[in-house]
Amino acid sequence: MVATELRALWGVAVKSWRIFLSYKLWFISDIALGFFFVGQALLIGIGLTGERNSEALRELTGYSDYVTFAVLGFMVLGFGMTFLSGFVWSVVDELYAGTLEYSFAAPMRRITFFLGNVLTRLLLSFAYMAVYIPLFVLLFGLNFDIVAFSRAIPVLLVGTVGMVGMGMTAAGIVLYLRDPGPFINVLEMLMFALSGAMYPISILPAGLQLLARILPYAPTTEAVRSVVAYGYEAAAGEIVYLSVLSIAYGLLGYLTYKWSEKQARTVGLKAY
Amino acid sequence: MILAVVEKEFRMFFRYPLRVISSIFVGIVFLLQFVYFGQAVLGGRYSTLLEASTGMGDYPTYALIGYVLWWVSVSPMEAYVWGVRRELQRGTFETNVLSPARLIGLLFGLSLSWLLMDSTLMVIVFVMGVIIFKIPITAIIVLKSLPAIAASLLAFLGFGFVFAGLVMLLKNIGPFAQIFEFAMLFLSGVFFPLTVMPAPIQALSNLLPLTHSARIVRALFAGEGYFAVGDSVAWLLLLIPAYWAIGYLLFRWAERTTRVIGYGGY
Repeated sequence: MVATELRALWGVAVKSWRIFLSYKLWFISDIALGFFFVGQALLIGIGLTGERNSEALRELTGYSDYVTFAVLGFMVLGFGMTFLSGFVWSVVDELYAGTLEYSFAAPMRRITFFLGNVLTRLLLSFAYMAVYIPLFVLLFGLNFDIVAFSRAIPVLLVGTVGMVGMGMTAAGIVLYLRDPGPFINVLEMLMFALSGAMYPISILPAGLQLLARILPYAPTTEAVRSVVAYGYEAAAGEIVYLSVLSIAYGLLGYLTYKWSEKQARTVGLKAY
Repeated sequence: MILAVVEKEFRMFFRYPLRVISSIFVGIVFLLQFVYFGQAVLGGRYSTLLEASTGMGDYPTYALIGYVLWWVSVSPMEAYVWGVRRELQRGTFETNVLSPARLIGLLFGLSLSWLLMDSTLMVIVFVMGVIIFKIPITAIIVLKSLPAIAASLLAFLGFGFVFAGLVMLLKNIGPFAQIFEFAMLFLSGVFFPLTVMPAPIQALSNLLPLTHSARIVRALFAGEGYFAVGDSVAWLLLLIPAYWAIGYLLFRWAERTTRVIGYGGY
């Protein structure tokens, strides 16, 4: 049983990978996106202050190097969105291609189908990071300390539980929408805006700050930044909060997904 | 016939209200990222350096004008690239090509409708930006900007027309168009002053209508008149016929080529 599911998981991942690679220019376009964000951050900073470091940002976040600040945020966001996008776009892409029914009718669990798509995006996410880090160091003078960055990995894994939970929750909803594309766009943009990737969430209005803090992205970004800059001890509060939030989202994702599966057996997939 | 295409596109777009809300939301979020980043780095909204290099020191106003114009400027390009692809996916492209209408008219209708739709969305985003960032604005500034905006729309349509020929010849130029759209953000000084770019890139940026549109409208918002940015006005007026001519010649060549070799990849 487990071996069959693993084989199916591998099959889905390979299929997604092949589809992605069949349009090689997408790979270049995705890579360009990273340079676009970090390049903009650098040029906005220089254009507005004439300096490579910002005293104002240091007071807000502890980071004066705004490029390192933006790179860390961008990477956590890119990694985190992998789960949300992997869960929800896998449904939409297959729906538009007219192959969703066949995939769901295949002798595998539906979660295997989702996880296979997430796995491909995860691999791509790591591939992008492997390209970005050396090039950002070379081109943008990114201050990359491998020991400090390694400290962030366990924190990122804690945040991953919450981000996977968020992805599963969204997948459970998406299955019941007639036209899920716009809903996903809104959801992704909401996560993007409230992720704290490009700016500290403390500059947002109070209501949005609250919303940002109860979603798993900004707490992960803040904990990662804090650990990289100051170490675990100083970031203990942020890590504890992130752990609680991640467990909550993990549970929410599991329960929503189970409910959605149960509903599917009773009423079918409404949209398809 | 062009109006029929515009009506069809409008009906389809506004048929899904969530799609409209999603487009506005995407527009706002993208803008917020860069404006809030700029403000976090500046520790406020005003930059003396920005004022010295562009004549406008208020960063949210600077970014909002550039961003809204950028979005509208890439709209015709997107219409050619994605509009044609969408018709191909629906299986309606060949039917349209076979209809007793000229292909150029169909494509222009597509481009015009997307430009109008995006302009409508960007007016909403602009108003929201004005409210969120408390941007000082008067009716006189808006009225003074209208001729510049009208000329800009004409220039953007001509600029996008270049892609009409490309999309007929090449299979999937969506990623290429996306890279080009991002590049325009850098080359036209949408979120930062062009003075931070090397001299050759500054020279190259003169060939993009967006550079001049943004400069003119920003000058008007800063209280200047058209004469203060006369060189940009001249550039913009020169680029309108130039891009329409280049786009038309490229399209005719692509049309002749596709009659022989068929539509690329379809």
